[in-house]
Amino acid sequence: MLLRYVTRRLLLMVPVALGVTLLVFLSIHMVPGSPAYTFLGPHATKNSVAAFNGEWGLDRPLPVQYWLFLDRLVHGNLGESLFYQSSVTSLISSRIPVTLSLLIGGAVLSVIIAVPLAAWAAVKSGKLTDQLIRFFSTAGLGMPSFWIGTTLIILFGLTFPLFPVGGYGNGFWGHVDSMFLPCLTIAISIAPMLLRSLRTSLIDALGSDYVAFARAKGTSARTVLMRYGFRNAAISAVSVLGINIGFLVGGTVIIETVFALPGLGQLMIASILDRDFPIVQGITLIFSVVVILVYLLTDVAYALLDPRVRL
Amino acid sequence: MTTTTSSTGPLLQVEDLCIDVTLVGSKKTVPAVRNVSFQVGAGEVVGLVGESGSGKSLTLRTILGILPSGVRATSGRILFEGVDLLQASKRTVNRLRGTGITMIFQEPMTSLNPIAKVGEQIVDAARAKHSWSKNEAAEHALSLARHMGIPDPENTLSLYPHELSGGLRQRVMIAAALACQPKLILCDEPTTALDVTIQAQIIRLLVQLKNELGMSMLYVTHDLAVVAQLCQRVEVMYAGSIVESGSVSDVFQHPDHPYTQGLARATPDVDAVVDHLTGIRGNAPTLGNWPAGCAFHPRCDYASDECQSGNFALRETQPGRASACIHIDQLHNDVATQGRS
Repeated sequence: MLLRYVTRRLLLMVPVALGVTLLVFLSIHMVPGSPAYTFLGPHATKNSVAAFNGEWGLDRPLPVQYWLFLDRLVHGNLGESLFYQSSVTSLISSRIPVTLSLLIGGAVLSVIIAVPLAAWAAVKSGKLTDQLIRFFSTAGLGMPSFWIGTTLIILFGLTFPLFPVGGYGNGFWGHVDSMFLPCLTIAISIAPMLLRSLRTSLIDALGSDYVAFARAKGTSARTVLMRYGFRNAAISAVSVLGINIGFLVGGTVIIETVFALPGLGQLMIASILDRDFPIVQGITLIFSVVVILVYLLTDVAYALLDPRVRL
Repeated sequence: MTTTTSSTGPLLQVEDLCIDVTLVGSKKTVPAVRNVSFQVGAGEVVGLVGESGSGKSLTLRTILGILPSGVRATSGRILFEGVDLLQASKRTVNRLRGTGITMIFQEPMTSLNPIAKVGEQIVDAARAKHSWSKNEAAEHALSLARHMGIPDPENTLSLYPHELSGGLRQRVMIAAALACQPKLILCDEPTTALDVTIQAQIIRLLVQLKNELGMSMLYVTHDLAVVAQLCQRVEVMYAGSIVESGSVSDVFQHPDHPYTQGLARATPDVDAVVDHLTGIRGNAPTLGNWPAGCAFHPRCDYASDECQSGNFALRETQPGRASACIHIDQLHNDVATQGRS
């Protein structure tokens, strides 16, 4: 059952990802400016521009260019960068670990922050603790991530120099050290949403008849909170987390810039400015695949948590 | 079996219980239950009858300490085997839930955890209390399920609540409630959400369990037929107060309160051929809008000026019977004349 569903969803991913690349292909060619002028400088002669375009196939009609892109893609080749003298595949694969660890670290950290606070707020629903937690989560919701990032750098990088202010560090622990603040920035920006949804669904669950009955039959308070409360509340919270992570994939671009992390986002920005089409195409494809996979994982987790859902 | 230390008093004794409810919109606090007193003896089945909003269910939930937020017992005592549950520590109340008192609810669909297998739900409380292993717990769940007449228990126990019928879900709930062998079981209209044939099966099961296990029951319902079938004594509640109490046969055959009389007349009887059913005129007052004096007076045929103010406490009319009505004589006269005509 589950396997068939996952296979179907993975197959459906192909047209969606292709649609995304088509959109990006069209929009990037509509933007004024061309890679030839960025590469050769504003005073380039017509002849050298034509030679550059001819060399990269940029003088051919757009449908042909897109067809060539697809043809290479089927063979697992994302093309060559116009600027870096290197294949797009190797450029992207060297930067994927940074972005993925940022996403995973941020998601894990946001769960670590949101779950206990949500439980605390729900149990103390309506009391001062609950109101304080809700106040800070609203405040967190209102802060843009680039501001949170710079504030964290000033606070924990400069005033109290506990963490490096940027870069990816060396070795595993160096990575962990330098990824902490960026992950925390992500966590602060998605934890409030997760916290609020978890708190609401936990309050619903704790006020339900099945919790009242569980208490009436003598189930311990701990079991009631965990197995009756949390497990039910987690169902809707998982979707919220999934949607937020999907949303965040684009947000990593900003955070990588703030913390000078050599990830996909930074490469993306540089490539857009350079009109380095193959890289932009490649990264967009990777981003859309990641987003689709996150949503698929969310749906699978949803079905595993709730026996009433049939996939 | 366990020996009770104080076997002299009743199993459950509720004295002058008052419950307040804070309304969600206006934040106003209004009384929901006023000076309710009654008792349930060992092995006895007591019915608590009244319309919705009369405070029956809140009384049950207060006994177990599982009130929703905004509801609070303000005064009175709830003695279970001599222990005041309103004053007892959380630990004591926790320990008594399941082993001393338990409750079965009206809606078997919403009262079971939708994402846990029913077998697990039947024994999770008992398993923790007795530190059973997984196999022991499964063994107990199976024997309980067989006892409750759950067909094909091996298979049924591994299903989720939404995969069962309403009647089966109610049997699962009863099994779960009885897993810790309680002495008193509070029933909050456990058959109202079921269709009539299933209703009869569940009531038969409850009667059978009561006879086998010698449990006491406090049965909340608005269905007088169920009370007549199950209970020995009945307490009739109206607008948060008990207006009449006595043995089931006495109360139903010779009501001592116009409200009970109205309820009895509004109940269809298959055996008696009646042209039409008489309803009680008007509607039950909503929370916070209870009339002064006898709360029933705006709907009562016997109401006089005296009924519109003052305190209408339950007064004993005969040994073992009590009524809050001050016009009992008139009521009895009327019944007598009607009988003759």
